Amino acid sequence: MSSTTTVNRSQTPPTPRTVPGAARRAVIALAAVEAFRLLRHPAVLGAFALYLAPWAYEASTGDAAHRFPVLQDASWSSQPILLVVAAGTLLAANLAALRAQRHGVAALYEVLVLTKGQRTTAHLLSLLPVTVLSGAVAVGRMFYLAGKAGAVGHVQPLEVAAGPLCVLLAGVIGILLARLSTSAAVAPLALAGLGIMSFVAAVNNTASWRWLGLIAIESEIAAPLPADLAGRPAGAHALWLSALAVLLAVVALMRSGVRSLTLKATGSLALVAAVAAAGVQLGGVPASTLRARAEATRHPVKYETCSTIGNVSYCSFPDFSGWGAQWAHVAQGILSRTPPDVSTAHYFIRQRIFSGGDAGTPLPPPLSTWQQDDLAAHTPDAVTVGTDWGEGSAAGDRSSDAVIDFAAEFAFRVVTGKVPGQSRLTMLCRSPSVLVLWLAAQSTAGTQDAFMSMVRRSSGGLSLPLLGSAAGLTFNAREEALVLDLLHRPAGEVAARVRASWAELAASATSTDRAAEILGVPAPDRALAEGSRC
Amino acid sequence: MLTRRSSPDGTDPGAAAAANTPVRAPSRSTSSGPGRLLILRAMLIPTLRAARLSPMLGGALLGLLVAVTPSVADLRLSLSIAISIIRLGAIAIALGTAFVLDDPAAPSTVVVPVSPLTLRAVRAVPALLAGTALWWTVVAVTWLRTSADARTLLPLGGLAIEAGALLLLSLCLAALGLRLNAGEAGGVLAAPGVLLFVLGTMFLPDGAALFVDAQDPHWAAAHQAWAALAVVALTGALLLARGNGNVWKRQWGRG
Repeated sequence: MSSTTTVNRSQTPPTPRTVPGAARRAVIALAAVEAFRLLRHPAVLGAFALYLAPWAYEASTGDAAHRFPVLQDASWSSQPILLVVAAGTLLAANLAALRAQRHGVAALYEVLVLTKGQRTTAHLLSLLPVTVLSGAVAVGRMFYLAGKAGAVGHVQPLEVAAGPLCVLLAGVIGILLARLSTSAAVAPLALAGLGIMSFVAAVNNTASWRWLGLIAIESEIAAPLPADLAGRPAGAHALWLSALAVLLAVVALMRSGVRSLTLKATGSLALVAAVAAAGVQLGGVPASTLRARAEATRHPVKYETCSTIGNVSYCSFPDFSGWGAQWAHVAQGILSRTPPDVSTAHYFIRQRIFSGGDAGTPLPPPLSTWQQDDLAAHTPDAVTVGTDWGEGSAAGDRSSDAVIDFAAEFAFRVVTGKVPGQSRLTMLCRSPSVLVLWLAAQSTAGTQDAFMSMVRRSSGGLSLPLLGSAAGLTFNAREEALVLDLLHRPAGEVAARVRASWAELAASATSTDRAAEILGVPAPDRALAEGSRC
Repeated sequence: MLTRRSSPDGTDPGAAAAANTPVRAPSRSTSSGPGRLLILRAMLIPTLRAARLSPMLGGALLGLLVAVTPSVADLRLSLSIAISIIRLGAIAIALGTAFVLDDPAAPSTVVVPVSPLTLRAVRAVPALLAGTALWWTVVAVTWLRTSADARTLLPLGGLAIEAGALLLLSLCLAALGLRLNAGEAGGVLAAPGVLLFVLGTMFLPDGAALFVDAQDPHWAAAHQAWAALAVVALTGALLLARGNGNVWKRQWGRG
């Protein structure tokens, strides 16, 4: 059987029958496929593995480093590691959008039902699941930290949101790069550029322009602040990242041939939002926050609540009240080694903030203002504790030093009956130096670990600055050597000698040699005292 | 080995295929000694002309840009910042090198009478030399902006081991990428691989960290690990560059 077909060449080809919503369904179907491919891409899988591996390692080893998290700081410090996922997403999204070019079939795509713009839309939509998954792991991380018994402060949702938004923005950048250049080499180099930009921003961690990058971290030597004094424009930064993602997505769509009015309006709105967010971010810390911070530094009494455990009262910013038991543990570890008249006296501990030690030369803290406020608040000679805490050296040098700093300050108060009142370092000499340092170091396993960590990092004696300021306590190498020797002996045995000869050991006239004799250990080499200011 | 070209004994590939008989490839060791050198010399310029050098230039520019920025901003660099800049330079150069083995014409060069290792060495060795020269340029520029007391403390030996290991890792991953990608585009695997490796190492626990400070007590141990990585990467690159087949599928050519 044969048939003849007559073709009328003047006739236009029949218009394909269009089903309402078919294009949208096709875009969503392609987006679903691309989303699945993106999630299983080795770069994304590897990035999530890199994100989760340190967490799993920490959890399996007891995670001593995160036993006392400050949640407002943990909220922003969760962002840097999500940059690994952002990097994986950028690379994978770029490779996905370049798939046709990489396989040499770009021309064949012209016969497919979806236009280039629709395919770009599908690629952009495919970023949503990986963004949601990033958000889920970031939220999971915060739940994990907030669930710690030593956690204090408040989770900042907008800070936590910045990580997943970085992942979304990175994916959009990957797709935009694919629409700007068909070379697979562009995305890795652009990513390296972004990494360098993030590094420069991390180095300039007080500059307001750093907020125009992906993330803005704080100085690693700055102690945490109460949440309402932090002054981080987290909301503006979340808006900045979102607006940039939308703006770059619009550019990618326009590069793909989409020119609709809605798209242009969306792009314009995103541009306005990005400019507004940039303006807020570049404004730096608001003046009202700076004033509140200065007031809280000079007059913490106004902001704090106090509680009493045994014969010690603890006053802290409400965000940090959860650490009272930790401070009490150290205080009791010191008082338990002292004679009854000393251990039953009433002591006060007050939390303070001071940022004068964060940049370059340490500044003196407002000690006289603090003393006047303490007298007015009926908490005389209150021992200072900061906003860092850790378990020994596991949480890093800053937390470790905070533990031994507080222990030494409290031991100084117990031995001398006063707090260091000089605007520079107070040099402790002879027997009281040995007594203060031993009481502080032996107090808990954490203080001993922190002391040993500081000894390893010091030479020629120890300096324990008060909140990183110019004030604080300093000890000579000879007394430090004697304390190291004492720590190798049973603490109960040394404590019995301490109680029996408390008055003599606490007297500033008693020599180090005499202290060694009382405590039953050989006196350290006199050469260690060379250059001493005692 | 299966090949697409006729063998020198005159076997017609079409007839062989029709007879379902595999055709043996010609021996690739057609010359030795001076002859091989002549071949290498003849190959060098055309191969480099065909190589993708723009990513390498991009990586070099990025690395130099980072190194030059402190000079433009008239900054004096501390030891840790100087080390970071030298490391960033090494990473950028390694990223650029990732694409140097890419060969879109690989399906056609499968039949040339030179081993795949030689073909890739002609690209890799000049890239390694250029990468080394670029890295030392980054070091020199950074050194000039480093504060006088920090200059003497710059651990250039350790940093050179890191840079070398990154370059070799980049080439090793590129060679692996070629084996997975019909010999055409190893950089697609190598560049993300180098980046994810670098990002991953930044979040390693303290005891296992690879990018450590100059005063870190783990410096020596970390650089033993870097040296081990360099040896593994070099061995891997040499082994992977010897063939063209997909390492998973064990097939020849495009596959």
